[in-house]
Amino acid sequence: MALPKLEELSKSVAKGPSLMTGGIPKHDWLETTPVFKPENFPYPTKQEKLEYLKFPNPREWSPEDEDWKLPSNWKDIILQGFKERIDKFRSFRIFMDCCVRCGACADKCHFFLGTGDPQNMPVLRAELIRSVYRNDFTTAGKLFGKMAGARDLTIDVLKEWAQYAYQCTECRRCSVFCPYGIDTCEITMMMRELLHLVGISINWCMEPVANSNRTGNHMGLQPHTYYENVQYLADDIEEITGVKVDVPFNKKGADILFITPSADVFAEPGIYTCMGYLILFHYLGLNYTWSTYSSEGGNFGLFTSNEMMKKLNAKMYAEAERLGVKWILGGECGHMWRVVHQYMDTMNGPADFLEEPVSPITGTKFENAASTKMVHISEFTADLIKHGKLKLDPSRNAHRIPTFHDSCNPARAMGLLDEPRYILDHVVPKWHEMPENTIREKTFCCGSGTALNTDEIMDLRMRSGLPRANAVKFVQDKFNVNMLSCVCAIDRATLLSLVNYWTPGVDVCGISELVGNALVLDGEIKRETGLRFEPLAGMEG
Amino acid sequence: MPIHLGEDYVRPRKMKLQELLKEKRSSILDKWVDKVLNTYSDEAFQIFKNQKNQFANPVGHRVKVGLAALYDAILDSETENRIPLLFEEFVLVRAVQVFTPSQAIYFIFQLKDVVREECEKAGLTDFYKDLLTFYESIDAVALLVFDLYMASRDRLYQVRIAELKSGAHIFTDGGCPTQLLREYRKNKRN
Repeated sequence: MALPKLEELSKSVAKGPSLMTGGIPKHDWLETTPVFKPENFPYPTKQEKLEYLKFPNPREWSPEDEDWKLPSNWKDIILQGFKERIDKFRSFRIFMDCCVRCGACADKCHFFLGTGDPQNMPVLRAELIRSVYRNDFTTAGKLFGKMAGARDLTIDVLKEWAQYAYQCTECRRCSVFCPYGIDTCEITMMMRELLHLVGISINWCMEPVANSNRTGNHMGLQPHTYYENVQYLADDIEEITGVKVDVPFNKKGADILFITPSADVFAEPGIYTCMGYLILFHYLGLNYTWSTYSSEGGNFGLFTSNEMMKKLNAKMYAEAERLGVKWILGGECGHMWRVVHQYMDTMNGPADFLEEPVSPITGTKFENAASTKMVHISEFTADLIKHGKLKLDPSRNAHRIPTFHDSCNPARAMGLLDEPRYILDHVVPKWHEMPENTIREKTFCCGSGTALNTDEIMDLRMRSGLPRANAVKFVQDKFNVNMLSCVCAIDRATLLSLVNYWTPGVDVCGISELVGNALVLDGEIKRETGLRFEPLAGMEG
Repeated sequence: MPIHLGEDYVRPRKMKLQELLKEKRSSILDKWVDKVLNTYSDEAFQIFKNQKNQFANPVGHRVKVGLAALYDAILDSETENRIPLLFEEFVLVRAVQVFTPSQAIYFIFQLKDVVREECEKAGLTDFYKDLLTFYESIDAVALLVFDLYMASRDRLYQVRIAELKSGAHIFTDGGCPTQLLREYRKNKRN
């Protein structure tokens, strides 16, 4: 075999898709051929899950195979679905039409910044589908074809959609910078919806959807297990604080229904956040209830299709109605809040069987939630602190030097920017902000949202999370930050892997965990450990 | 009649390689950085090269800072065998990007080309012994970079294993989550 010259070795990846890795294409985006290799695409959905959900074309298949076992009329199905959606969703049609390719979004995407792959520029990712829109639904495209940026929907184009629709976490950072306000996330949502029509989807998304549909949560936990797990956490609280907290479940006539991501109930470090909720509710003597049926805040329907999102969201409100509560309190979740704030009202609203939320402790009316009747735990807690209702001992978090990661959806979809910061000011002795262009509305995604938090694409997750990790590294070096706090369950799971790779020595927690550590309970024993059974500052010996 | 200016004026002053490496530091680094950034797409090259804010351009920043740190370490004979931390940060990036292992670390050899070109430009052609010594140190560093690359990959696998062990895998492993969770908690308590 002829050995390649050294210089060529460094170039092959840039010149065309590498056989080994599925490299970054350097030629025209209209003429690329996607390459699927292990670690660059999540596992496809198991046949049984699609069958259960009655989604089209359930089958065993692999994206690495040439033949994706699509229905023979796949193209007609996609184009028909496309037409239905541009007719139904005016925003979708506008987003297809109005981009002027100014490039403001190009360098704002964490996928692009971490990979350098031009197809990850939001504008070009959207062009993947826009080119087909022009070809089949615009006069200019029909007349001038490629000259007008149009192209035929071939099997390679479809595969490219699949590749890049799952290299977007729908975080909407690019939309912040778009002068036309194009919500690129909604373009990805539509691409994923269309792909579902012919049976292209990923298991990490669809199995949680199937589980949520069946038992009410991502894990498929049955009611008794869910209940058992929260009880375990209550036992741990008793061991740490000496105080036994009540865990009311399915209590009819309670004032408030509490809904949080199920990851808070079973997965580290979410469980410590959950312990924070339990301590807070006990402290307040809140008349609230958990539900074993609406046992999931997360809504992977958002990453699937508008119908599935609506269905999973409806469950929360149906349960609130069944239990007869006044309003809903939501835990530290990310995309649940996007669904609630941006889609719930038109999908399942108005929730007029509920009351406009009022804090039973402070009397504060949460007017921002007048329509959805759902209040964020950070809004609720910040209001309590503001009214001096919480006895807090920040020194119990002295072993933590946190920074705060704005989770994409609470920050950009509901404007929850100051409440978590206000809480941090009161529950820890000191904390530090990351640089200005990586926080608040401009926050960088964890890199693994929208059901991309699966381990088989760990490389991809690490590079897409680099912009976030890079800012964490900065505050770790500068201020010795050792804790990355956030208000999202997917963040808590995925940031942990991210910091383990990029910034070992930094841990991840929810804001409510820090609240739980700091909150001084009546009748408590002297606390020697935090909620993780880790020694408090000065108690290390 | 030609004016006799003396040897030092008609020819470039004889310079030891070490001096040239110090004097041309910024030009050598610029070219080296360009070669590394060239392994990305044209669009990325422009942004990675020109965006000065490190938080808006983590890859470009780590390339520039990492290569500069390594370059200085190579020049400083005292620290020749210690890879600077800033450079490690850069290898972490290469280790998770779309490169084969050889592509990921090939850049270290490109320093040879850059330095040779600089030497030729400066008219230095008769110092092959110096150059060979310098090349040897690059080869040694290349082996260290290989270690570092593998350490980065190893860290990645550890992260993946940790995630699997965390129990998140029950999401997609099927089976009865209730049973699995009970076993998980039992094992954890023990």
